[in-house]
Parts: sequence; C-alpha cells; structure tokens
Amino acid sequence: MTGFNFGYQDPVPARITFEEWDDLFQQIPDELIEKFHYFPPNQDAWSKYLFPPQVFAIYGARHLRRLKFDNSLAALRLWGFVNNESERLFRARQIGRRVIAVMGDLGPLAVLVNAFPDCVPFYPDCWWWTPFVMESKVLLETAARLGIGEATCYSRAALGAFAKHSYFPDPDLIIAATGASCDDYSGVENLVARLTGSCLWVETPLRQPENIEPLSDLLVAEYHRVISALEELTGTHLTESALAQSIAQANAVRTMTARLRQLAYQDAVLPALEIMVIEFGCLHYYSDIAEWTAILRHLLATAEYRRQTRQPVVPPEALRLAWLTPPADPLLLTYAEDQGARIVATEYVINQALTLIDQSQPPLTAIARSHIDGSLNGTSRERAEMLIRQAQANRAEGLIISGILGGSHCAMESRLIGSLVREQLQIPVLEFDVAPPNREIDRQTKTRIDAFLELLRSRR
Amino acid sequence: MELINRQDLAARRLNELQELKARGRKLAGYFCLYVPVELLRAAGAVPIRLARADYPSSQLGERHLRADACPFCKSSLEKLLSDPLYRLMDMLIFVNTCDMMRRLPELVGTRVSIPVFQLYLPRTAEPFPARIAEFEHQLRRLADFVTRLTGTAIDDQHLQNEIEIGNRLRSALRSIEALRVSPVPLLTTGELFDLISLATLLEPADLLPLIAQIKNRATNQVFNRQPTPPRLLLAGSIIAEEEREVISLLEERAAIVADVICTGARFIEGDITTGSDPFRALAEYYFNRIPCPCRRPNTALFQHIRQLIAERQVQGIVFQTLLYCDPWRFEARDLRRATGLPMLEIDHDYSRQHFEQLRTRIEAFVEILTGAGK
Repeated sequence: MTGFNFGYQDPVPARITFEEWDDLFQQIPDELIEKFHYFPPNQDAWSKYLFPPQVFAIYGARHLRRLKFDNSLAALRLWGFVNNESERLFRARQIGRRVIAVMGDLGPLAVLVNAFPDCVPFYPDCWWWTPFVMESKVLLETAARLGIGEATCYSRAALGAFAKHSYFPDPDLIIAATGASCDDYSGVENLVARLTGSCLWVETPLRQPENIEPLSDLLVAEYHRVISALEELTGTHLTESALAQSIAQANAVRTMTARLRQLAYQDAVLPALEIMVIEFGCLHYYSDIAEWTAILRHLLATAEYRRQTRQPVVPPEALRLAWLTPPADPLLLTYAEDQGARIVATEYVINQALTLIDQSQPPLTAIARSHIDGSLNGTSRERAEMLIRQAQANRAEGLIISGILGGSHCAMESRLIGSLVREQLQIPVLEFDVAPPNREIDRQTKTRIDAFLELLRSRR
Repeated sequence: MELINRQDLAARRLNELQELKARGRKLAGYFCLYVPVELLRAAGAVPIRLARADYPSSQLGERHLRADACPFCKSSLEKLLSDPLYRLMDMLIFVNTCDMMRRLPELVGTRVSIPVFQLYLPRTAEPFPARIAEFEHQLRRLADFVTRLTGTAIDDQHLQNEIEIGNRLRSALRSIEALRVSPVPLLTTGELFDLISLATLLEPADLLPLIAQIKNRATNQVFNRQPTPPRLLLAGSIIAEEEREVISLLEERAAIVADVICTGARFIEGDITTGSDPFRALAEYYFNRIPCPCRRPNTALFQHIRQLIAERQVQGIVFQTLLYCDPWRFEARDLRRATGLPMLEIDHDYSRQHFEQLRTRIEAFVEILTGAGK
C-alpha cells in the first residue's frame, strides 16, 4: 500500500544511519522531492525542504551524523522540515510575514498568534537542542557572556541565539510567559527582554485545582493583552471565527500527535527520536502549521500502515522504558534504542500541548483551561501521576530521568517523581544529568545506561 | 557595647511561643516577605518567619533533595524535621517566588504533617487589575485557610488595626534603618538585620518599645568605628539568621549603608493604605513591593538599587548569592553594568570552609574602593 506515500514504496521499516539515509535518498524520484514546500500553497523553488540529513550536517548540524533515523519518506519529510526551521523563519520575514517569538508558555500563545493572518509563531525555547545538534558550545558561551553561565538549564542557548541574530530573524514581537514554569527559562526571558529592549510579559499561574475559574479569568485577561498587541502589530481585528479556526487546527495537530504517540509506544512503529520531535511540534508547529499538519498526516498514515501490516521499526520485545524530561542530547534516545530498549511513556513537560482545547467553550476560556492543565504548572505529584498512568498502560519496566545540573525544577522534582514511580510501579529508576554538548555520550552515562538495561533484563 | 542581644531574646521568645501554643494559640510559620503577616495576626495566628539556615542542616537536606537544590530550601526542609522553633508551627505558608520555594511545600507535605498553604503571587510584576484581583482572591483564600485552623474569623476592623500596627512597626524600623546611613554609621547593618529578624519573631507591641530604646542608645553612643569607611550596598539571596558572620566580616572593613536583601531593608519598605478595603489594600501593597528578582520584569528592583546608590553615596556592591539561586545569579552581570560600581561577587552554600579566603577577598575589595593598594 503506497497510496498515502505519493507513490513511493518505503523500504522495510528500520532505524538507519546518516550514511544509509544518504544512499536511500538517491532512490527518491526528483518529482517527489519537488512536491514538498513549506508555507503552502506556495510552490516556489526556494521553499523546498526535502533534503537528506547530510545537507543539514554540512550547514553545522553535525550531531545528525551520529543519530539513527526512521527510514520512511514521512520521517525524512519530518527531518527536512524541522531542520529547515531557521531558513523558514528568515524566508517568512522576506515574504512579509511577521515573526513572533512565543516563549515559555508551552502551548497556547502559538494558538493566538496563528489566528492572525501572516503571523508566524516560533519557539526560541526549542533552540536548547542547537548546541547538541551542532556539537558546539557557541550559544552556551554567548549566554554565559550575557549573564547565564554553567549549572543552568541548556535552554540558556535561546539567549545566545537572540544575541547572535543568525538563528532566526529579530522578532517583530516577543511574548514571554512566566510564572509556574521554571526559573532558568524565566531568567533567559528576562535577559532576552533586556537585550532586545522589549517584551510582552504574560502570567502563567500555578494550577490550584480548587481555584480553576479565577485563574482562567486571569489568563483570559492576559490573552486579551496579547491579542491587543497582535492587533496593533498587524492592523487586523481578531474575529472569533479566526480564533476558533486556529483552535481547530491546533486540536487537529494534538489529536494526530496523541495517536502517533500511542502507535509508537504500543506498537513500536516509530522510533523515540522521531516521536520526541513530533511531540514538540505541538508547541509551535515548527513555524508553519499548514505544512506541519500535512507532515503529521503523512507520518500517521505511515505508522497506521506499519501497525496494520505488523511492521514495527523497533523490536516490540525491547525493554520498555518510561522517560522523564526531554533529553537535551538526542543521541541518548538513539543510544537507548541501540542497546535494546524502546520508549513507551514520556513526560517531557509539554503534555498540556497534547490536551485538546474544548471547542464548545468560549475560545479564550478554553485555551486558558488547557494551559492551566500544563504539566509544569501543577505539582510534581501530578507530573508523576501523568507518567505513571502511561507507564502502567504500556507496561514500562524502568524509568530514566535525564536531568540538567542546576535546572531548577530538576533539582526539586526529580527525586520525588522518581520515588513515586518506584513506589507505585515497583520499577527501577535511573537518574543522570545530561552532560554538555559533545560528539559522543560520556562514558559514565553510557555505562550507567548499560547497567540499568542489564538490570531490567535480569528482572524479566 | 552590643545594642541587641538577639539570641537571648530569641531564646526567651521560644519559651513564650511554647506557652502560647500550650494555651491553644496557633503558630503560623512563613518564609517569604510577600506573606501578609497582618492578615495572619487578624485571624488570631502568631506569625513567625522561618529564616534560619546553616550548613549542617543543608547537608542533611540532601537526603530529600538533589545536591543542586537551593541550600536554603534544603536547610528549611531539614529544620522542619529537627529545629525546635520550626517544629512548633501549626501551619506553614509558602509563596511561589522562585521555582525552588514554589516546589518546597510539596516536599514538606511528604515529610511533615503540618497544614501547608501555598500563596500564589503572580510572577509578573506589572500591576494590571486582573493580576491584583487574583492576588486579592489569593489573600482571601489564605484568610479562609488560617481561620479554619485558628477558629477566629477576620473582621475588617481587626484587620485595619493590624495594618496600622504593621505600618507603625515598619515606620519605626525605617527610622532606625536611617541610622546606618550617616558618615559614621550609628547602627550597623548586622544590628539592623537582628532587629528585623526580631520583628518577624516578636509581637509588635513588644518590639516597638525595644526599637525606641535601641534608637536612643544608638544615637547617644560614642562609636569607635572607622570614620570614613567605604560605603557598600549589599544585594543578593536571602541572608539567614545564622549568616551574620558574613555581615560582620564586611563591617569590620566597610559600612553597609544600604541593602536589598529580603531579610533586610526590603522587609520594611512602604506603608499599607489605611481606610479602604483592607484586603484590597493588602493585595496592592504586597503585590507592589520592590520586586524580588524572580518577578518579571524586575526593572523596579534595579531602579530602587540605583536610587539607593545615589542617595546613600554607595561606592561598591557586595553581591552574595546562594549556590543555585538562579533569580539572583542571573542578575549579577546586569547589576554590575547598571550601576557601574565595583562589585564583589560571593557565592556560598553556608559552609564556613572558605571563610578566611572570603576575608582576604573582602580586604582586597575594600582596598580597591579606598585606593589603599595603589
């Protein structure tokens, strides 16, 4: 069955190396490469993005040489699109779109921005992977010169990216959410605000289950300020139907993402790395919701086909792991799978971006409610319970917590969540801090992962 | 001559608190200066600020928290298990200022069975009506929590009275704080911190006469202090009661004429409006305090610092932070740039291991300020 795949026949599902993808790419017909453009319905030559990982490695994403990728056309499309985001943002500026930085809120602000015509939301927060993907400390060193040094979350790379002016265009508007998220990133936002001279601050309240309505009212008031700023910037009045449409688009993305996660965790039809990248797409759709939606549809069709034809990409019998906190170094996921594990449950702090926005409620209230549900906005116990539910459903055999030295919420949450998982599921927990960007995972971490997987194997 | 015997007064107060507790009064422990003590008093509770911290308890706190957690939080958690004063508390009130303090109550809840309330203070500091309205709502929730435990309902008149008493206390402390600003300081910052710490432990009625007495003694005392010591501003993380040694060390060589420490002068700034809706007045006052650096934007903090520097002819800044105190640490570079003054940066975890090294650094810093090394 190739109908969903533009007439192209995917090989037997496998995780392949950088070099293998380069070889495989030769078999993709030229006319197929021509099909994929960002900012649809635009079809201009400059907007093509279907390139093998090698293209991006040449431009500095060196770590791609060490990762393993899903060998489907849909996954190639995913990687081409994600790696192309910097270029896409500069293009957006060139073609007259407004580039809006949405920082720290983990979900809802992009929904508001997308309701405005010709506005492109992007997430500077996600530049935290750049030092790892580039195997370069430049952004971290730049952040240090601006005041945020070592022993802080790698999200400080975003500050370096603002200072460098070469990773994304200087935004037309910076919206920064702060509150019940984390101090490290709030500090990044604060220094970005000083560096750029302007920033629209938005409150993110603590979740208090018995106080949801007043907190929603507060958030709605905050969103009205965001909308006013966007109306002033664009000269466009926001209509309720435009907002409702943006919510519907966001929900479509969230629904497909949730299904993809389920397919990957239960049927092993997509690798952990791709699923993490997909999950983070719920935050800002990699700056192009229309094409991102199309990519998700393609991935979903691929994954469903693999499930129906019983073609997993990772051995289903692999050791089943739950994972807490997204690994700053993506190579960790590749390594875990290489060593015979697969990921069946995650709590990457962005679960709120998977919650559907209730389309039967007034739009702003509905966005506010989904925001308050955010995993970082509540208690650590709630985060643990969220993970435990998934881990239990998918029979996780162990939990890996990949923390960050000096990351404020890691320091306070990791032990509590680890102990709750251990107590309730009776499974072993491995906690380590992700080392700074490097070519390889450090020996100590490798040994610890190896020993942990050995332990899990012995418990079978 | 020692102006204040804080330890003696604190020991006596501990006995008093035990008696009060035995008589059924409820003790409300709190950590942060955004907690409206007037409200706690109006609900019949005895508010006590829990601002003790030391190295041994911080080390023991690592049984519950990672090593890279804030030393104050680690120490506070441990003290709730072992410190006699902390163990007297009938309730604990936390504010979500920094990430670590925001998450501490949950951990406390897993270790001790004291009722805990988390007061949500909007992290954004611009005084938009919806934010202040929500904070007022939070204060009403706090009032419900406290009155449930004390059995004393809050009436507006009683709350107004407590607000007036609070204003008198802050005013008295501000008048004594001014004594450290004169060319030959009549009061040291160590003494001021002792008084402020007593203000969070004793009843205002007991403290007001003591302040008057100390002020009288201070102004009539002949000081044997350096005539024109370098004038410093002290900034940074919370300074716990056990950390007076650092202040003393600084004051051996210099005069601290201003500070922006939450256990120091930030505690006594401003007055609460009287005569209006007391909950509203409390919400506006506490929401609008000189912002903790973790609030966004925190430009008002920088303005306040610049104003202090200009008014008090500050020559240098001592910037002390606890290890992993992100809200303050991230401000170091910009504080140096914004003020243009020499700045001594100290980070610590309550350990005294580097005390002599610190002494040398302070001496060198003072030499820079006075030009003695030229």
